[in-house]
Amino acid sequence: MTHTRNKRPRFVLLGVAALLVAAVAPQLAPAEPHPVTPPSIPGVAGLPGPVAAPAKPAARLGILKATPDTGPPGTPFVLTGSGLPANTDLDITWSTATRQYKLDVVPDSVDFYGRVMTPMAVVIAKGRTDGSGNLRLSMKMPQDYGAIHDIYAVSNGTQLAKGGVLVERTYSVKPLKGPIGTTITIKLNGLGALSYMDTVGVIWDNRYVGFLSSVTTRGQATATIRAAGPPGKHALELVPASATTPFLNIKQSAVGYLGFKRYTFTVTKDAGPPPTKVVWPIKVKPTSSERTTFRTATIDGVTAKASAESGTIGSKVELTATGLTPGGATIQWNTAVGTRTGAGYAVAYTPLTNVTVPASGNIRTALTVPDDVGGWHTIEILQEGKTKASVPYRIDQSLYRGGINGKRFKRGDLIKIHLKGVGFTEMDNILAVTVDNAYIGYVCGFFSAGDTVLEMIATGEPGTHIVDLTPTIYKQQKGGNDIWYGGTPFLTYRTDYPLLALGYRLPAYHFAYTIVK
Amino acid sequence: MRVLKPLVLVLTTAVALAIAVPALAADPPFPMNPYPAASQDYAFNLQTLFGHGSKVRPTVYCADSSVFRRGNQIIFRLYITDAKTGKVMTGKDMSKVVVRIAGLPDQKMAYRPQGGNPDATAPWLWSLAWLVPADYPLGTFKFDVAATVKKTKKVVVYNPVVPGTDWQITP
Repeated sequence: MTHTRNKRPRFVLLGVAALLVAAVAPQLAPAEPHPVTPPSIPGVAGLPGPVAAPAKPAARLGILKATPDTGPPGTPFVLTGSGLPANTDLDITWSTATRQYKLDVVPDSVDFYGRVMTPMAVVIAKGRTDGSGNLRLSMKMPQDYGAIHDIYAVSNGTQLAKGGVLVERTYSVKPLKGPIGTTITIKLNGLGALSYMDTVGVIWDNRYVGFLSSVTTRGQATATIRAAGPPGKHALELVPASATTPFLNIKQSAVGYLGFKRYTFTVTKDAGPPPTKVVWPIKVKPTSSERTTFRTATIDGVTAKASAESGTIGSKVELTATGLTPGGATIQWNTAVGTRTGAGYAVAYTPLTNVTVPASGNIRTALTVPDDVGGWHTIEILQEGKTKASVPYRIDQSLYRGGINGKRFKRGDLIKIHLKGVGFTEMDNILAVTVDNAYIGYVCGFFSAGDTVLEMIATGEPGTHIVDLTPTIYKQQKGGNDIWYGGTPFLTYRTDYPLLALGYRLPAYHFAYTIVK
Repeated sequence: MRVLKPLVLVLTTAVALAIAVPALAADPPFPMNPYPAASQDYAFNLQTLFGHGSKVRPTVYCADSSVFRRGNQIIFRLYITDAKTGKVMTGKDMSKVVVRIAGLPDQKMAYRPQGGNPDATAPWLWSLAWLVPADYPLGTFKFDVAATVKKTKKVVVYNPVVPGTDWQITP
């Protein structure tokens, strides 16, 4: 009953917010789920060649032999064919794809609709048959998505012969020894474009750590995990994953050739808990200007600007505007409130301050970023109830009072990890939690306005233990068989995360503590 | 619960009927292909299975699949019917049925009882066993079926690929 009572004010709030949304609904742009162009990531290859013109197979298709036909990106091979038309120019095409995340940016969320694949063929070489209809070309397997690629010899829109190669995965794990908390870098290349091929699960001593993905990074994936104790040898496995979770008997599946990799990591010593660390994604240029909470554009003749595009809660921001009407104005903060646990959620509008616009029509005012959910908000300047200007502002996550309530605990003590500015969309409202590299669940910050507290019981043997919080997707909307399971650590959040395209910066947190007797 | 009970009863009956009725109907050797060939005159049913002649052991023998490894034996099983009358096309109706695999000569199918050691009850159909060579190109497996009608000499071609469901050859 207490729970129900506590929810009532929220219901009222949501109702009011919903009415406000309804009132402004005609001004909102219609939102549809759509693929979003991924940002440019340093070191990530583009398409391995120009897109090939459409082609149809010949009535009697020949074959091309690739020697060798298996190897990692960059492997040289010789492509041969015979029985082709003599003295004929050929395009050698390579089957590949472009991949994007499908998102729906709406005022009170960014919804995740999974991955979109656009299969295509590109021209990776040109060739010419000899007088006897033979073809021989020296080539290299390009830096591309891995797994199996079809190769065709094409002339005048007709596929005359077909070959194929397997672009194998490569693995790099460094270092393979070090004290508890050592950062271990995992680099993969040659991950495939299809589902079941574009994610790899990480297992540490038969515990699920999280997954690496290469959806938008053309087969390349880099992530870090940390060495968990106690000192001694530990098993680290990299296993193909289907929907983000390890597919443990994939050898028996139709894609058994993908293989897996096993390492032994030696924890050399327990040197005590390493300092708390926050690791941010790499800096990229967003490809989309779509923003949550946005409703009305700045009107003609008015300019407005914030002194910073983003900051943590409590940050000071200077808002300047020109072209306003002399008189009163309200500075408003657009946000989202509610919950995905049943009651629902909506956009909400909070006045930050009232100002008087002088005869010049210009204002300059200092604002304090509210203690609120993270992600993209809109600062609006309203006069006589109408929006004059809209300025996007992003709240980034932050640690509250150092994040963890201590470094030394006895078994049974309560450990608290406290974050601020956790978001409200389907891709920034939760963080996945691992303890000693074992996934235990997630924490959410939406209903609590970004305030996120993880409470956990201190357990385990005396010594250092690690806790890691990693960005992840809450859940996927419709996706059929291609659905991703949400809530588990998205270890490649720095380079392949869906929200990077929208200008979000979501960090991972690394804590450690010692169990004392 | 008062509303739920009759609903559960109706649903249970419907599910039981759905399971029982098809079993009572006359059994074709295997279900009709929901994507028949472009030919208006003949309907083709094709199965590809892992054969016992595989040099590379499949996960399960005789299982229907569209993904085969080099060294697997593919059993092509084909069932042809007159699309208008439903009559099964036997060796008396077709002078030749071949699987045309990219880069290879025509692979002739035989009309014979199903299975390695068929008994008198085994259904008859067109079949072919083909071992995927160790160096056959990886990737999309391109093939079709060409059947020659004895009476008219007409060659009917059946391409079994439904868009997005290519057969595959894997390592």
